[in-house]
Amino acid sequence: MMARIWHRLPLILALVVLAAVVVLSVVPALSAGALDQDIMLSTALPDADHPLGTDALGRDVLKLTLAGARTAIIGPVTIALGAMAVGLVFGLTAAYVGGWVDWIISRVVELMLSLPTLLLAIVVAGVIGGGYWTNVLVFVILYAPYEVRLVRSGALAHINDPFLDAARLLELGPLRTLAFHLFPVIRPLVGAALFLDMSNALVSLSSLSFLGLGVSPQDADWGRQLSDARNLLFDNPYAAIAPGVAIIVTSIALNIVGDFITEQSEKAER
Amino acid sequence: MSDKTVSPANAAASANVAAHVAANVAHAANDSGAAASPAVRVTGLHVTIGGKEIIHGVDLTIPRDATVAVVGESGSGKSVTAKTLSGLLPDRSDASGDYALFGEPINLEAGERAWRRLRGGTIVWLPQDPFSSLDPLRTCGRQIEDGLRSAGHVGSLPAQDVDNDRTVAASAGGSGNGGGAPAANGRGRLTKAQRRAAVERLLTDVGLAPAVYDAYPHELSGGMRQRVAIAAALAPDPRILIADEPTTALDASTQETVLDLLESLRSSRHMTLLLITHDLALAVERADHLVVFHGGQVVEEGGRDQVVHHPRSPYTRELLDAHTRLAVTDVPAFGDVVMRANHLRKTFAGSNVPAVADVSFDVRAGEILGLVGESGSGKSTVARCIVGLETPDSGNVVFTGNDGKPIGWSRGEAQLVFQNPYGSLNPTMTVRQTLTEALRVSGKPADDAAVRALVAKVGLEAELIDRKPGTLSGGQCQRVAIARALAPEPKLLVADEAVTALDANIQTHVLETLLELRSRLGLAMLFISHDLDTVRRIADRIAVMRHGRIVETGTTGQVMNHPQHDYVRALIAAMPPALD
Amino acid sequence: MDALKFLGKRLANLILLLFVLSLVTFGLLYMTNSDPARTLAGAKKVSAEQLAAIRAQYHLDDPLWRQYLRWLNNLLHGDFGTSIRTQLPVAQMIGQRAWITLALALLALAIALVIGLPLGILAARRNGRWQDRLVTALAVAGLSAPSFAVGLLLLYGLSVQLGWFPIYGLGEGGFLDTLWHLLLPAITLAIGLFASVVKISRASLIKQVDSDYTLFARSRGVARWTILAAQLRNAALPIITSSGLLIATLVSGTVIVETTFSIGGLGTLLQTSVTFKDIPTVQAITMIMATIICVATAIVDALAALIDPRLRVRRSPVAAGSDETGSIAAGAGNVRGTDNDGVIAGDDRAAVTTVGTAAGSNDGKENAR
Repeated sequence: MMARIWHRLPLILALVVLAAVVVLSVVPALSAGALDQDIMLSTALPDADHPLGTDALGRDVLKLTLAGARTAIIGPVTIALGAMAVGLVFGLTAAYVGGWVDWIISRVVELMLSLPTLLLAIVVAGVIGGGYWTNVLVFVILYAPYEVRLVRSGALAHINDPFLDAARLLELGPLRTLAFHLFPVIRPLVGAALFLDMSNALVSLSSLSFLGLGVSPQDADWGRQLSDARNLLFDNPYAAIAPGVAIIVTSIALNIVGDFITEQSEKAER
Repeated sequence: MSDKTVSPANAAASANVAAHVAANVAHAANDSGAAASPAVRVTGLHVTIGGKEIIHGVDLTIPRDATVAVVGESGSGKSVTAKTLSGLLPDRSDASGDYALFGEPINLEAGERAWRRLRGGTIVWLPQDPFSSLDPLRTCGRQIEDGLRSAGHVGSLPAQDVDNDRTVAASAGGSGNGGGAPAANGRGRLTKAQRRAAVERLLTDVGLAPAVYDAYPHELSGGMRQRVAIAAALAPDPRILIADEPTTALDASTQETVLDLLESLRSSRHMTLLLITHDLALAVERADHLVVFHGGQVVEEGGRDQVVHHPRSPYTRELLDAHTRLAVTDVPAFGDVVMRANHLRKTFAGSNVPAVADVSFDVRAGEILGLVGESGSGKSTVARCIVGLETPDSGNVVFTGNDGKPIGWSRGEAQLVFQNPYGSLNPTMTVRQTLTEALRVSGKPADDAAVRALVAKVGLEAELIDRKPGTLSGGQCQRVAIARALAPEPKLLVADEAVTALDANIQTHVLETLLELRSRLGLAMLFISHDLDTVRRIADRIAVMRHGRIVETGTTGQVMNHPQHDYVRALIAAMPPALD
Repeated sequence: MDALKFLGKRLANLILLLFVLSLVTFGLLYMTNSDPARTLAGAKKVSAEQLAAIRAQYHLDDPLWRQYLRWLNNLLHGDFGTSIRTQLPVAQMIGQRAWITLALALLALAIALVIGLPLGILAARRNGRWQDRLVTALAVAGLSAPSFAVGLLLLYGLSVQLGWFPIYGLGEGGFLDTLWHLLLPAITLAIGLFASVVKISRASLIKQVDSDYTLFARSRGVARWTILAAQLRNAALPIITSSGLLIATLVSGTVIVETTFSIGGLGTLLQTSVTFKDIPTVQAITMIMATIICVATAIVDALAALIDPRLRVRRSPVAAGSDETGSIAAGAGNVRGTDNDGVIAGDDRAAVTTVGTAAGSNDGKENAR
């Protein structure tokens, strides 16, 4: 038993981290007062009231970091789910219908996959200048082709399986076949991809915030915090360390869970 | 045994073993009457892979200079044993037991270095799939050469005279070309030209043109690749060749020629050939000596005739019975025509040869029509046209409606049972879910009782009802697939290679189930297989397909006893003998 | 598929891709939420006449397609326009800074490859053991950690606390000093790349180690180095093919890393220009970076094609080879795989059967039919 727990320690820690991030993001009371500014207390080192000190605007770094969990989870979840929804619709359609529909979807996907994602996101989101949710939308669009490819190839691996022919022989409709026969087979693939995408989306979104292209300067956001803290390394390094560690830990946790699901589904395949 | 055992720490000693082994062989070949020790002797072999014991105490004696077939279904441990003998077990596996090659003890736990001395010169393992056994990025010739160099390597060790001995032996054996090994120069590395010449000789030996030297594997057909692999296996001039299902990945007609080649090479080179196969008929046809594996143990071992005529284990008897015609007790009187196919034609896009060219036949209620043909003959396409999975370019399929009027396909007319038992069930659904869905969409009662009745009909144990396909055996899956096909109560059941993927004794049980369904339900059946032997066991009438056409039809007796067409005669001639 | 066709297709893809990119880049001017003329006027207050002048100068009243063609034509002639923010020619600004970004990217690539490839190979060869677990864990961390966060932590730890590295900027000195200033940013940029390199090289080599041909070669007693060389050659293909992705990561990553370390390269120029909505500069840098990424990826693909004999054009030394291809094509006609008929394996029934007569069939082909 102990050996099992030890073996799964990274996974357990990852789940704890993610649970904490989710709780923080859905219970605003936990980070109340994070945005309160106290200009008298600009860039203070830690003390009893402020365990991690304050930033340039006199905001409590600890509270601000806890409050940053919100943008760290909501955007990535939206991106992953949104892109996957697009992926499922087009990927399953391409695989199941085949023919010229598949051809067109595949060509468009191929083209979009060749685009430099982050570069385009920086430029387009920056020039539009719409803020956090615009960025989320841009990433949904840029991530979608990856999901289409994933779903399509996952479905194609089974498209010639006789159980789909058997469904046709029972005269099940295409929608029923897709939903009850094809989709369940690729579900583990989708599950793993969702977590890995969230990890990527977190990095991408906070990259934009870091470049000053995401959330407005007053909002709590880890990327934004890091951007502001670049000039505070001497005065209060915790202003940079806290959000930096938060991003890295959350992103790694998402990756570990995604890898675990992949591993499990590969085991199940065998 | 420890003092004579090859230890990984003593590589030089193990090299000597290899040399000694070679020497023994050479002498044995010269005076074959000598009381020589067997090629392989294994006692008390246990193999554990990833913490799970796969082989439970196997004793095995392989005579030298013979073809020995190791027969067993997948998972019986035959391949694991073969890999154990050549030290090719995966990481995290453990083998124990006594093992001797030509009388010399070998340490099963030796490291890679020690094994490398044995492999090549003494023992070579030839993998199943010629499409993956060669490096795609190098020419065939270069890959064959790889083995030559290490043969030269052995020759450069103190016992080099052995190699010369061996040449004599090989020539004395009468192969007429001195083998492919670089025997003439045992002292050092071969020159480039010598190596090339040796490889070209090997290629010729396996029936390929020397020009294949410069070909990449992808430029060759499966059969040619397997020949290249055989040449590569022979390059180090092994005394024992383990061929692991060497023809399973090949086309039916290619299989014969590759097996012929292996046999002739074996005798001309005085090798011991260990033929690992799941196919008892093939084993009986090709081997002098048989070993039958079942559940990680040897259940039968002996000379061919003894095993065939006086099998000791019930398992072997069951396997042998799988080749006799089933006792068909109550053949019902055939009813009206259930389905008629008229002049079916189908050409797939991108192909200029029609897959199906003008096929017509009918099936009557209660009748089993067997449709035989090689892969590519178009028989599966016919099956798919009948159930509407494929639309014929011309011609049509007509079913007889309840009022006697002709109607098209619907799920209540015909259902199909597929070849791949695992693939034909949705892996995420339990047996109950699969059957409930089938019953419900067919408008039948779909409660627990109905599902259980359906399961009972195909002879599946009721306790398996809440399992998923992954935890069922192939035979059990196929029964579920048959049950699903029966759910809409079709008048015609099309079984497309429905037992091909199953082990021989399971095949018999499934065939019996099909026969029983026929007599109980008066079902019409189209039984499709590439294997005439299987078809004749169950069919009332046989149609033989070739190149998209039916070349012969008749009752099973007529076709089997008085074949009209040359092709059918050839098929019957190619059937495994001696088992009926 | 033969190589010329492959290369042709690849080239056509590249041109299509660059076309789409140029459309998006050109469209940037119209993505801002204000009048393009006002955007082009910059932050300064302008009168209606001045706006009209800008409109005329940039031909903003022309139809869009004509504007696009003019813009593209200028671009192809190296005329990137004038920066709104600095009023300097964009080409000049880029010229001054490009080498910094290039040096940073190359340094990072070198670090990632030099460390990543051996570790990936090590992990594959020690598959499942502690060395593998350690390297894989490092790769997971490197892949998921954003470079700016890692960069700032490194900056704090190694520069502020330990004083090993300079803190910001490029230094005043010569080549070596600049290199010294670029080292920490390059390491930061290399972390994500390194992780990708490890992951890809490990996965592709493991596939080779577990392959049938490896087992078969071992069973024939083939020398260890010969086998390893074959494995590496086979593993190189997927590594090379996926390095296109690495280039994209690398180029986009420079924007972030340069901002993190306040290095005045193309990346910071892009970041400042985006913030300032200095559209001509943004357009120019985007096109340059995207072109580099796409062209490099295409070159890498072509390289992979040259290595892989399956994509090479050549006359098969075996006559039956072509015959065989024909029958494979026939089999593949049934593309969406309807049945178990039409199997790939060829028909070499007429193949020579016995060793004794083999020499007789020495006419250069295995007769396939």
